[in-house]
Amino acid sequence: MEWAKAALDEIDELRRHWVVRHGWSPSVHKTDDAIELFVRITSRRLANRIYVIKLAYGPEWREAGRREDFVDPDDYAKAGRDHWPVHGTVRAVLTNNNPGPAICLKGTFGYHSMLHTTERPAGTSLGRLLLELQGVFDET
Amino acid sequence: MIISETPFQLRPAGPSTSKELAMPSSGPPNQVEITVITTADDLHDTFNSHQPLRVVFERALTLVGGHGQEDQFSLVFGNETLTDLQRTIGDYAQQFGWGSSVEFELVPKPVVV
Repeated sequence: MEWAKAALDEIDELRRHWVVRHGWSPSVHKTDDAIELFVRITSRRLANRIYVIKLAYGPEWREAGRREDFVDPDDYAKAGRDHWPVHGTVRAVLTNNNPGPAICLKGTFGYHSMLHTTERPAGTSLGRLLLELQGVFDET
Repeated sequence: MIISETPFQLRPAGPSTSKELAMPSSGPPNQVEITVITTADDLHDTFNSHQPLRVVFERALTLVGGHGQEDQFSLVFGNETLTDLQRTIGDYAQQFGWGSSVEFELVPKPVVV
């Protein structure tokens, strides 16, 4: 599965410096139809509360983007809107978006397949996406 | 669900925190060894302290393919964003007490449209 190898290669290229600096503690879960990356985000903006983002890479991820969701930091199997920040508290994190919550940052499924469907994710990188996401969770 | 800690090897980088690498001196040295950590390759080079910081910023930008995207990145020392890129390296070195070497980060700004 070439798409899966490309996803794992991208994850593998995540720089250790940024992982350590932000305490991302990445972990990977493989399913039959997706590679799921979990990253812990500590939010200075929200009193150092910890969120865990799940980025799911499916066969179409390079055209559709990395499918975003937040999960329970204590149980990664529990995902969904309940685990997203309250709508309006973090710039670009659109918890109340319909038909589903989305993150308006280049590289996500929400950005390229829901909010800005004419823009393709080619050229986006996981490292930049995560740093931008960390940035909106930290900005005051 | 089985969650496995990353089985892949993360690429090694330089020092894990952004901080000065040498003790501050009484005045800025003429040459400063600068490392810039980016999301791609790192920049390691020696710069004249009379050069504006913009020279370092632009060199680092090229490593991430950010030429022409100056407004989308910041140069950061520790938790301090170095906003005035026209100031010389020596001027900043004096302000922050850098020694003969220092480490920065090139951080993308969130682009929300």
